[in-house]
Amino acid sequence: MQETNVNKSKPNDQYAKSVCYFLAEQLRVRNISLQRAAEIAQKVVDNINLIDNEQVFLKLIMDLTKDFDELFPLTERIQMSIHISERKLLEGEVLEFVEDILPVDTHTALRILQEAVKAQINKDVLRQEFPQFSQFLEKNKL
Amino acid sequence: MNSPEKLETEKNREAPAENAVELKDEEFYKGAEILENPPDDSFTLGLQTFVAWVKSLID
Repeated sequence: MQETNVNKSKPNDQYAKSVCYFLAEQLRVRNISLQRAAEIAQKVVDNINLIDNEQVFLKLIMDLTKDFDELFPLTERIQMSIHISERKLLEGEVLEFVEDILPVDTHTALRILQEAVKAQINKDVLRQEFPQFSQFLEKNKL
Repeated sequence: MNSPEKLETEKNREAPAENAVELKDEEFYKGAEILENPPDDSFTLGLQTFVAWVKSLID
């Protein structure tokens, strides 16, 4: 039964869900009027089929912020979500690389793990610092 | 002493406020519930339902 519901939902329904929960929260604390919330909802519905990733979703919400400044906190949430998604992806890639390299180069494996846990780290820095990691990503098309 | 024209103008200005739809707290909560519990678990449908519901409240 649940599977049927999942299949019914479009992939971009997750973006509609973010907007729904945000608007619901704003309505409960009366930070937004029902009319303004409905105008935002309509704009999102009009554009929902164009959203295929978080970056596009962020751009849409940022564009709407020009007319609806109530949406500003949502842009911050999306930016945070993008950061978390990128971070998770990078962690997965580093772990795959470490599994691959550990039997032959323990030193590099430990060094990249230490670098990867740093708060401000990103993929470009790791690729520069560890050419083997960069080659691994290219080889595996990650 | 206000002139009759001025009194008429003030009356006209107040008229829309008297006719404006006054929305209660329950309607805000109802709106939030529509958004959080969409039909068929489709949040896109939830947004559409919410838009239609707000229109029905205001019209």
